[in-house]
Amino acid sequence: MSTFDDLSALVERVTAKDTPPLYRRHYGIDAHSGPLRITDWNSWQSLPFISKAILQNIPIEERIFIEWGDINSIHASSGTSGRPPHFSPWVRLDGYEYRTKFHTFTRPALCSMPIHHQHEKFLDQHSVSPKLIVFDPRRARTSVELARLAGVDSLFIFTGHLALIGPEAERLGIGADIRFIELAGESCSRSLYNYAKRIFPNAIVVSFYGATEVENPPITYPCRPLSDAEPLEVHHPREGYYIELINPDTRELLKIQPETEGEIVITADTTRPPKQAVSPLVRYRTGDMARVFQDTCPTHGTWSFTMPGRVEMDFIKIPGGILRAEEIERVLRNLGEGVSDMFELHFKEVEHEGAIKIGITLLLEAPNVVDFEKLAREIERCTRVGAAFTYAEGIERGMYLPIFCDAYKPIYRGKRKRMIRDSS
Amino acid sequence: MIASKQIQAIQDALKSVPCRIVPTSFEAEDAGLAGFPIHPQWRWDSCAQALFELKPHGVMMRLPLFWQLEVPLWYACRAARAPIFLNDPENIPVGVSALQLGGMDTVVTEQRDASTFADCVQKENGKLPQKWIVIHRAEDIWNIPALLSDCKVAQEVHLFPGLPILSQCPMLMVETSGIPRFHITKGNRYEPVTGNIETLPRGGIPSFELKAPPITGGELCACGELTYTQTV
Repeated sequence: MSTFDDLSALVERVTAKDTPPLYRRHYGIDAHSGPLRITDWNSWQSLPFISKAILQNIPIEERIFIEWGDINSIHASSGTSGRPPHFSPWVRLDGYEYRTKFHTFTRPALCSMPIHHQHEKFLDQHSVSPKLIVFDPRRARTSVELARLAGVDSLFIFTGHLALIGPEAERLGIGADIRFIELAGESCSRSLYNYAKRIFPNAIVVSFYGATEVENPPITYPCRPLSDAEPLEVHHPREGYYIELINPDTRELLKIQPETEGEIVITADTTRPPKQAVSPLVRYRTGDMARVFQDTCPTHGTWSFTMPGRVEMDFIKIPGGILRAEEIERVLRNLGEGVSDMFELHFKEVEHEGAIKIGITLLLEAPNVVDFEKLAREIERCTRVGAAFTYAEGIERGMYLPIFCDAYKPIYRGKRKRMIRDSS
Repeated sequence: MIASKQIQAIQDALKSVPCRIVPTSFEAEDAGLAGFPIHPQWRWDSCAQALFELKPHGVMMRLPLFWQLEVPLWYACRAARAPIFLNDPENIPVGVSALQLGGMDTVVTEQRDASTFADCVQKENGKLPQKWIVIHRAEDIWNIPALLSDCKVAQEVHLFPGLPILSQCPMLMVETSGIPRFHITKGNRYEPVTGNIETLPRGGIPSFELKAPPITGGELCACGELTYTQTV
């Protein structure tokens, strides 16, 4: 965990006169003033938050604090509603050292996490010469076939890709060879964990939390593997990341104590050079929610948290596409007067005929609709999940389950959310 | 390319050989697709040389991920001190945005994608990125879209992903109209008339005898190497 001195030095560094204008502008520092110096925790807490929406207004070149040529990779993440993607630069290749507590890496790995060379560097450092097989989500069968030929025994993958890799691993009979699975990107539900254990019975399953905008994921390291008794992802902040929790509505800072739930605010790159980030983030609102699990973990001596989901979700990733709230809204608006554009989309992973699929329930304000099944088919037909690909076409190809529609019954639960992950 | 008997014979041994594995076909659905071993220290030198000439600000890779070329391309990018950005070839809008907002100015793609992508970029941005590396499949006709005729384009021919057999020096890169000329890429023996290729053994990886299209040679390039064109 970062100290106040680390944070103070970071603020001074990112607001120095010769640095990119990102923070000087954001903090309202005039051209003649020197760097901002914070003297106590109160002045730290009064620093305004930064968010993706703010970063998106600043050209990438004005967010770079190192030589451009030193940047390893650029990454795109979905833009905030209706906006183009946001581009984030990464420079560091380290951060996965904790993996060796769970597995001895002597074999190749199948990897879908960006960026692949970062994971190959990890393998290079920890074993003789195993190489990475890059997983192509659009060509799952071939990717897993190459993984079989290479003799992989570990998977570094996005949680959503487990449902693509599982059937192919089962078909090729390599499930039992896999000893280590690392998941990221989304939480692993109980049904997904059960599925993973059925296909990969010998695998230790761990997960980390990362965000594209916060370079050099992982931001956390796993407290322990998921287990049958407790398929729960418990995260510890990694050194170099200072995490605060706030109430997403009031922005009030929350105390780190068991059961506290709040939005994760990250300060990244609190370590000194040469371990600095391309684009240091100071009090960055991630939009991700955390629930404090323990204030002091007896094993690791620091606080830990689990992740209940996003503050507000605008989209969910589904195999081969993205289902966006605004697309559902567009479809509902075109359906005529019988249906309003108010909806609540609930989703969860379900095991269906031996594979993991996303089950979607759409609750709609449609007082005049009698036949919700017919309505669901129409929504499937009109909803685009890719540039030239509808949800209905995904059902035809066996990728998605039919949508279930029902009447929306407003129950006051605080701020209304349009996309909600249900526990499964 | 359908894998040769020699490649088929080593499939089960691949897991015990320290190597990078690439697919022997550009198409994931190809029934004959197998794994081909490449030495783990292999570097994509022809691409690195092209990037050195192009002096990219940022390199956008639009090659299918299963081709397993991200890591070799990243090494080439590092040599040119340019960041890499991966763009799913099927997600053209993000690629267009990366050129507008993500600091990218150089595109690495295959010939079959170049025309479609260039067309979309032209419509969206009103101008094209000026620097391209275009990979031809050995079995295709090796030409580049007319849209790129004013761009700097480095062309390569791969027998399958990760096995460049023909590439261009800086002198040939500037020839963006007419029949493209190439040099035989170092690291293989290429018999122009028969199209027989013999890869050189390295580490625990044996030599392979492979079949490529015949090529017609040999004008001398200003760089001192012989040039070849596709035999029609």
